[in-house]
Amino acid sequence: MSAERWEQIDNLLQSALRRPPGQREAFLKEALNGDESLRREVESLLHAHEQAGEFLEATALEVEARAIADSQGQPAMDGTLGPYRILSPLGVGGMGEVYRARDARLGREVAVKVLPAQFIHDQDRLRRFIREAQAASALNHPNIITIYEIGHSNGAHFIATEFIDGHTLRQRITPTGLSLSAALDVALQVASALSAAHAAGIVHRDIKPENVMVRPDGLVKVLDFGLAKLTERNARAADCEAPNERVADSEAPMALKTTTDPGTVMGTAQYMSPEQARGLEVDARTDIFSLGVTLYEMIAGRASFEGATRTEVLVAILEREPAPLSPYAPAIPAELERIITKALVKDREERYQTVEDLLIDLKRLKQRLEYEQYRGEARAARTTSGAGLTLSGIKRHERGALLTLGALVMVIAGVIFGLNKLISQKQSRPVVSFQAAKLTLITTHGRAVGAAISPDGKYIAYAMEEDGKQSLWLRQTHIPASAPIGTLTAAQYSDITFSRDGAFLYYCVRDETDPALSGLYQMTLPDHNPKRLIAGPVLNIALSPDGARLAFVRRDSQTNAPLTLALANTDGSNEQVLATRKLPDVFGPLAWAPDGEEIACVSARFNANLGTATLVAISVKGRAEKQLSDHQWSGVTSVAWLPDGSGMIVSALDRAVTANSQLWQISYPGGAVRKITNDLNDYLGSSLAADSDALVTLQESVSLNLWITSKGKYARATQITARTGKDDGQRGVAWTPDGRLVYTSTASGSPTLWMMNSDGSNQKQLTMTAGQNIRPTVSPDGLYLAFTFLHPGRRMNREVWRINLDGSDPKQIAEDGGFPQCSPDGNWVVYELGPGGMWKAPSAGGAPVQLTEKPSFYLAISPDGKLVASFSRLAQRQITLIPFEGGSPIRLLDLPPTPGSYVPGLRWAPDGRALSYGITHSGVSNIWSLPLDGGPPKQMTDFKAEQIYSFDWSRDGRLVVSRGVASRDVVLISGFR
Amino acid sequence: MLLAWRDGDQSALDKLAPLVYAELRRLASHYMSRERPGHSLQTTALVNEAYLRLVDYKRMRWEGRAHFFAVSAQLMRRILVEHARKRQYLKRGGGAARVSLEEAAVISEERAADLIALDDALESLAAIDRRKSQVVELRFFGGLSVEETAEALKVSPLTVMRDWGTAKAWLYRELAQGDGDER
Repeated sequence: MSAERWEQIDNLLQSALRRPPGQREAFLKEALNGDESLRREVESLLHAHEQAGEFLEATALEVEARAIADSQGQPAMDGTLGPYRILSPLGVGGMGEVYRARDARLGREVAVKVLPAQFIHDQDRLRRFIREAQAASALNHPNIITIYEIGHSNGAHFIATEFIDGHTLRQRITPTGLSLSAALDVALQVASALSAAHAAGIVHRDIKPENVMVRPDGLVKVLDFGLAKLTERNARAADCEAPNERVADSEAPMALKTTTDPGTVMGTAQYMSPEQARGLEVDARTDIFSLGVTLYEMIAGRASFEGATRTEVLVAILEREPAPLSPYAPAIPAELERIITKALVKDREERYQTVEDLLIDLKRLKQRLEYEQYRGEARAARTTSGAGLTLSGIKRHERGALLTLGALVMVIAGVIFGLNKLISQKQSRPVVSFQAAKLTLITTHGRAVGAAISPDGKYIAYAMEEDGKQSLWLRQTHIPASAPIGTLTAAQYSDITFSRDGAFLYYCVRDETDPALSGLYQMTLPDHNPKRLIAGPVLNIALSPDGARLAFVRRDSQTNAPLTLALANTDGSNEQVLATRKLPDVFGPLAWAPDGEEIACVSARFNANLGTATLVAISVKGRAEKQLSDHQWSGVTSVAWLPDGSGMIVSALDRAVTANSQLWQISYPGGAVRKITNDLNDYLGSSLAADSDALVTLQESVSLNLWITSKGKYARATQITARTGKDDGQRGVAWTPDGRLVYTSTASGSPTLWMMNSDGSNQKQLTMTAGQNIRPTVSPDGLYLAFTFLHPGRRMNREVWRINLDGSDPKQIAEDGGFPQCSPDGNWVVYELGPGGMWKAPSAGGAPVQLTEKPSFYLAISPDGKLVASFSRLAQRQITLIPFEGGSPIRLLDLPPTPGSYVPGLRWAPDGRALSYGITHSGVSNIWSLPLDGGPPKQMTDFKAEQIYSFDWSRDGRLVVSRGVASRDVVLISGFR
Repeated sequence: MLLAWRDGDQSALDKLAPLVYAELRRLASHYMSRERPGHSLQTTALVNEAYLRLVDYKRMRWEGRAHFFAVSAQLMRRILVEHARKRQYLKRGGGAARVSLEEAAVISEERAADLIALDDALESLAAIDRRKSQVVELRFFGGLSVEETAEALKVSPLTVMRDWGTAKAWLYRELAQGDGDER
């Protein structure tokens, strides 16, 4: 365009603009009669000017700031979001944008999801979401994605989670669906995740293929727990409307976007349960339905409820039965159709009631299919290869033998998928397979105390306990029958170890009734002749690779602490000291490195609470000591070298999450640490076969329930919780003045405080911390509770804290102390420091006062507030009474020397006339009452089985106990290579 | 006029950019919390602060306040457009897997206010009428008033007003056409 022409246009436009809008066009027509192109040019500019409105009226700075705000909080323009450096976008969806990012602090990759701005205005809702998401993550379930952080930066709220290098299930589902085994695998793992979440009271509400990630190794992770709650649109805004009317109106149903665009909306609607579609309150059963829809789609490759619009989909969910699956998947077992149908029942009362039931059905089906698969393959192998079995055939045969063990063999999927990385892909893999190691229960009695597998993997030796006595047993790994290899004795067995050639079994014996029998023993196999090699109090055994030497730890004769690491020939001769420790440092489990040069051992330090344990290596020749890993655990219960020397497997209790002992892999050299199990059981021990194909450990689980009695009828207790695999009250239980119960639970990870009604209803979480909240006690006015807090930042130091019963206002009462009790006037919290005596501190905060310097364990305050009782020493059966003001004991109460140990805790009977305590003997606990008038103690409860872990009195004389069993079984984890 | 700038270009940019980012964040968080962000003199205030920080920069040869405003407006333009580019890159960048139809609609709505498109259009305008593009740069990017713009360009305020009107119409049409092309 020429400059003149532009000037002409500019002038004409300005002239037109000086005229009133109504006259502008007429002016242009007149002025430009004949020059149509010029007229059109000016007219279009005039038109643009009229249209422009606010265009350019805000400054560029504002425009850009607005764009940032509209784009719902983006990473900062230097490519960071809080501590995370953004690497690349992973996806954009209605629930926010997801980036792959790097946490510079820890050097790990994370996924960061930015929450859409419109969801974070409701602070209440945001808080609820954060609680729920964190609670789900804290379950530490292998199939639930781990949340590292929920934070905000640059005005953006974000969730940082573990980065899953895989695909969403949506990306995996093809129009022909997944294979039957793949679909079952995914469904089992999702169900396993839901089962854990539901047990903790968390409903996902948005199970769909988009929220399920599948890693290349088959591990499934369920995403976005709690998020549905955040993004539901005014769940109750339309409550006044009848549900059906709302469905008829495409704008109205809850949780729905108002748009009718099929591409964006169907994704959510298709997986809704009927009750969700109706806008009703949902519970765990809604997840069962959504999982059913997802499973249907995995099999069929198409959605179970389809429609051209959102409304049609909703109508289908509410009214239509899904099309039969067989046309899409002709080979589908009838059992699977039955399972899916049962999950998709519209009336939730008729559906699967718990996801566990669904899980069990899926597991059974999976096992059956796997067995049938094996039989089919075995037949095929016989016909095709004629004579004899191929090598892979033999392996299959062994696997088949395992499967035929029936009830004894439980294939537990979804529990130990972390083992995957240790397992290489086997050459001959059955078509139907768990892409995970197998976990086989070797014992089911729950009374195992130690176990080992022979280097060739063919034998398992273990010790078990019965009525306080122990015995050694031996069995062939794949034959479900064990034989005792020694008599039942009062001795305790530990450190069972096979010799490299399998000809001997070594173990330590500790006999308190006859200490002369203690020592390190060797038993010949298979004739079971025991012989003591080393006398005295010893523990922990390691054998040199050439089988000529053994290492062990000797206890100090005075302190009984394991302080000396010694070597000897395997016949017991030539004992010499390799290294020593000084209290509070001690030696723990040992393992001789495959090269024979070093012994890996646990170096632990005791302190008043939990210890710290590290792995060191001590050179056999030079005695030099070096650290194998800088990781610190609370405790390490076993060490085993991988035969190729590339690292170790240990069973250890983490310092960060102290609830469960898990299996870990430590690389050598380097000392990198990785958890290989991650579940709610404890794993104790790690005995490896030489080909690393199998590992034997003890799996410990507790199953506790709360029981209450009515006043005076203590021999008859009523169970108020009815759940398996829970540990309610294991670390403390307390009544509130109005008759509710505060108890500990690990439902959300490490022990925290929960509350329920005395009929077991209305369970809710009160505290949520990184450490442990235990030993609750409720103030007399019922306003606050005091408890022991094991502080993760202070090496799990015991501290006393208080918190209001509504979960608000947590405050530290004392920097050190435990087993707190509130004084009857509510002004003081009394607590004990064990050997450090007893103290009290003002409940409103203030300086603590020492009541006694004498050792005090557990404590109880008299109802009149005048006396405090405590055990003086737990081994001596004596209770000391001192004045509430402190000072010398005014009375010592001796208890009869009944066998057994105390249940943690001491309580004053509500009438003030007796003290009560619990005694556990031979695995059975009962509560006893010691009258203060001098009479003998009386047994109050009449339990014939199970152990009591905590108890408390209500004001009106009701008793609550947490009781159940801790079972330890030998498990074989196979599939290593 | 911009030749004098060359020496200290990068360094001035480095000094101004953090201020701009901070102000952007402040404003954006206000918008997100649905509060009013206060009066819209931020750009001027910002540039004033930048001025105070930059005047003692020895190698910079200033030609008075007007010159400074002109230069800082151009800097603001560079910073903000660059910011928008990064934002869009992050939003739509390489691995972005799914953009729903709903969001695609939002993105095209954004185009009208998109600084990147505006920057392109402003370049085209400069080829036709340099002064008008400078008026937009000074007012829209530099946040200057009509009077300040007039002072910087050594023209009358009335001319600034006229230029502004025409430039706005022209740019709006340019951007709207851009949208039309995509349909």
